[in-house]
Amino acid sequence: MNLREWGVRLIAIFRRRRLEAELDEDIRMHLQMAAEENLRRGMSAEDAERAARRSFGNVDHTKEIYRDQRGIPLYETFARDVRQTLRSLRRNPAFTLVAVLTLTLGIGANTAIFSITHSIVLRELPYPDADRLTTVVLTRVQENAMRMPFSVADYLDWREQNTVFEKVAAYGYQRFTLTGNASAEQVAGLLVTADFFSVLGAQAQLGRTFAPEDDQPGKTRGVVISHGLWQRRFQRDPQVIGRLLTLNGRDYPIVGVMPPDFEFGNRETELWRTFTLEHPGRRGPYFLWVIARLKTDVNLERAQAEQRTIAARIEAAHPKENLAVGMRAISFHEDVVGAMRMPLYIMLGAVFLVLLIAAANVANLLLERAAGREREIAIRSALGASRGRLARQLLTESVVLAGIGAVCGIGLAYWAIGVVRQVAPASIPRLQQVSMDTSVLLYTLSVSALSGVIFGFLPALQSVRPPRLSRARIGNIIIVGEIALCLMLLVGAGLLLKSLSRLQHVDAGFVATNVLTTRISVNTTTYSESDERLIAFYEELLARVRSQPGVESVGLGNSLPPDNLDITDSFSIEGRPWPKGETAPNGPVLFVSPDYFAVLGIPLIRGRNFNEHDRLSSVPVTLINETFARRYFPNEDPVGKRIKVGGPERPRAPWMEIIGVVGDTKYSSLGGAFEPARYQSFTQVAWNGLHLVVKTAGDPMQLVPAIRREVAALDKSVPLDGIRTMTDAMQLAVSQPRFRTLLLATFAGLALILAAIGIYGVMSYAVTRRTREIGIRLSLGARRLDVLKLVIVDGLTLGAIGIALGLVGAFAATRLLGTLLFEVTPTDPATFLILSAFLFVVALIACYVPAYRATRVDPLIALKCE
Amino acid sequence: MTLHESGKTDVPYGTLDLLVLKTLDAMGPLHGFGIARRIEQIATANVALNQGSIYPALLRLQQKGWIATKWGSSDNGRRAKFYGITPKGKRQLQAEVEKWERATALVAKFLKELS
Repeated sequence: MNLREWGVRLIAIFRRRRLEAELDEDIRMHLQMAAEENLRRGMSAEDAERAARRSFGNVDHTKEIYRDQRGIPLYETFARDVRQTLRSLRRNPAFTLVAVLTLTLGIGANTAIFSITHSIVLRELPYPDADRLTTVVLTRVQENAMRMPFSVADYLDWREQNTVFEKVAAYGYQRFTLTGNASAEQVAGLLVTADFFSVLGAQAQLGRTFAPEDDQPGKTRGVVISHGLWQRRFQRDPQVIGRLLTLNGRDYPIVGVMPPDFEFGNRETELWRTFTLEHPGRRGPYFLWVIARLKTDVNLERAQAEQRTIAARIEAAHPKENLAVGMRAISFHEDVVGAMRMPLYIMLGAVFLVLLIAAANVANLLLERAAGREREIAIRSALGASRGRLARQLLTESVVLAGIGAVCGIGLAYWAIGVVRQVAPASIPRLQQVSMDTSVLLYTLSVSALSGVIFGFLPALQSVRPPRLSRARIGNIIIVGEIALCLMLLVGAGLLLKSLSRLQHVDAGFVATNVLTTRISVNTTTYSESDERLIAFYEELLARVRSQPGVESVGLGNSLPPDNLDITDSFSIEGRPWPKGETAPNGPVLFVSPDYFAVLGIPLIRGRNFNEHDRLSSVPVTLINETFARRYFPNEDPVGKRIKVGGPERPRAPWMEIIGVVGDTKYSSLGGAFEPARYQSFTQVAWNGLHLVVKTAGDPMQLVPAIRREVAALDKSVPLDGIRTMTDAMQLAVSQPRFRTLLLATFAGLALILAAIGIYGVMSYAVTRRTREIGIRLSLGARRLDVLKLVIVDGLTLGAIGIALGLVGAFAATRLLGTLLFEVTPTDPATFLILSAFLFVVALIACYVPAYRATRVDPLIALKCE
Repeated sequence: MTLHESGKTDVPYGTLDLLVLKTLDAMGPLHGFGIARRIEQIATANVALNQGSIYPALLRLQQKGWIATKWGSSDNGRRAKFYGITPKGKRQLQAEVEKWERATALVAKFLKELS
């Protein structure tokens, strides 16, 4: 067929009704003319008409051939089958409802999870040629060890030697106090080098991004602001370019506004400011993250090879400071979403198991229906319908069901994605970019088609040829399969649940109840004249808050448990030179007020706490935690020993005397181990940016207005940043694992319900089929209890086989969960055992109802049936 | 070609198109019944034509653009659909006729030479 014919035939499909009428008219006319001719030859009216019909041949047959010629043949029969199917589905609303609902759940859940996976992990990041964007990090000791930011010195050395990247940029996270046309607020921003936006290939929607010379010394520092900030602070003023933004007490002209969909790192970031990189005297501190764009002819492997060479060269030039410091190039995409890959793939796998169970249930429903339709099929095949035609009819039914399921499933997924966007932790990257697109629809289509084949194929095959597998046998396979899949999901969810509960009850080394926290930092310009001025500000703040009614104690600290770690630094112990070839040990460094420990319930184990006599001018003192004491002073009293910041490269760092030991507290992550932490008094360090921690008698949030008032009274340019309770912080720390657990538990629950329905359906059918047998048994004197046992034992045997298979499956599959589990092994025996037992009980209940019905069989009626 | 009880044969497969085209070429526009009758008359007793089978053939020829329809009135003044050959159809007919003649000539020669 050429294109023209396809076109004509395609059009014919849509003009079916009219063309049909035309054909009828043609034939009628034809017969009439033929009859008239016969009349003229002298036949009787009746004979004339009969002869006309005879010479025309079979009218219906002609029409059939004509129709095939007119349209697109496969489509025509398909359309007819679909119409027939829709009629028959309408006749069985209960069947249709259950089947469609089951499929909607299965397909909808798959579509939703695939949308999320696709949008977050699979889709390219929204930058031009995003596959060439690369993150470069420092590593210690091993290349796959923790990713560390660069120091300015390392960055400058590295940039000079780079040959594989077309453009490179460095950035550091920074929070700014924004004052000016509205109330003071704290905003998250980035300090960036001038090439930052051109590496990303991002354009401003208003004004410009940074020019190459913008980070050179002596230039006026401009800022680029986000669409959100422009909207919030400047009411989308189109004349905003050139206006001044007051950051930390200093004015910067706005040079550009980014478009609303521009996103880099976390969504919080609302402004970007250039800064000048000046070669410092030493290698540290480490705070610069590096993003670079690969040259077109360079791949990641070659880039990585060069990173190794450069790192080795820098290490050779600075053997002490850069000892064992490596450099690693990671695709930016991997850097942003790599951690999400495994959890999302696990969810995708889990939700696919749910779909299999759903499809098995629908297969079961169809089989049951097919059993009820044996008569109909027998009649139709007696009337000449071919086996192929009948099988096609049955397959059409499943395609139509799958199609309806797909459409409803897409609707369900659309809704579910909205819900997920609301409830998912904000720390999941690209969450706001989650949407359905053509690839998602294609996925849904294939998943629906697959499930259609699964549940349609068996019944179709069975109904047209003498069954190789009996209906009952297929039912049994379905039960076993569903139970096995269901157990795998239950065990997975159970493991995550146990892990979550362990995580929530982990001892983080502090008491979270009734503690309010907010970060307070001051404008550097106002307080830069002396350290005393800054310390005095914080001391005054403590005094003011302490006097508020409802406050039990109040403290300050630059880091907060369980995962809000500000800085870590290396240290040396007096009289212990580190062996050659070893780097100085590292740990969290905290600057706190004496009452910090009381507020968070961290015990003082030996020695003394800081007090008001520890000043800038007095002997530098420090507290260490138990892990520090145990690891570095295993068999001696650390009190009175001296430590200092850094290794031999920092000879001028003063020695600090250890005055006491406090309890361990987690600062890096709830799931991590205790680290060797040390504390210094805020009165000896003068650190800008401390969290106020307030222990209250009642609801901590009640105190917010009072604290806001006191801070404003002290300095009205100081905002309260990130007001939250420690209980919230604890919740936030487990938000991702909790979300994962919630998802998997939902799927497991869904699977459980579907499997229970499946078992119930198959067992009910088995009981119906055995009504006669049960009747005979009862009339021969079997007790009703025996009958009950008979049916239940059958069901439970299947249940036991399913559970055994499920245990094997779970054993193989749960190791994938390994990295997501906290203090639970993937083969945790208790979880496996309890959930197997649980599923067994559910299976028992699902069997019991049909079994009980079997005992109600009236022997007389049972014997008469059939 | 199946032999019918009456001794007539079916219209050879694929030749009905040719017969219709030739009829329309020779007679000018005709309605369906007219075409069927004309073919029957020429074939006389040799061919069993189910008159109905010309309708799918007419449709096929229309789809290919070899014939076109228009409404006209029949001998006794009734409105009926008339089929007429198109220029494209004429070209096709000529090509088909040549092909047919070549094929029959070949078969004829073959049968003669080898007998």
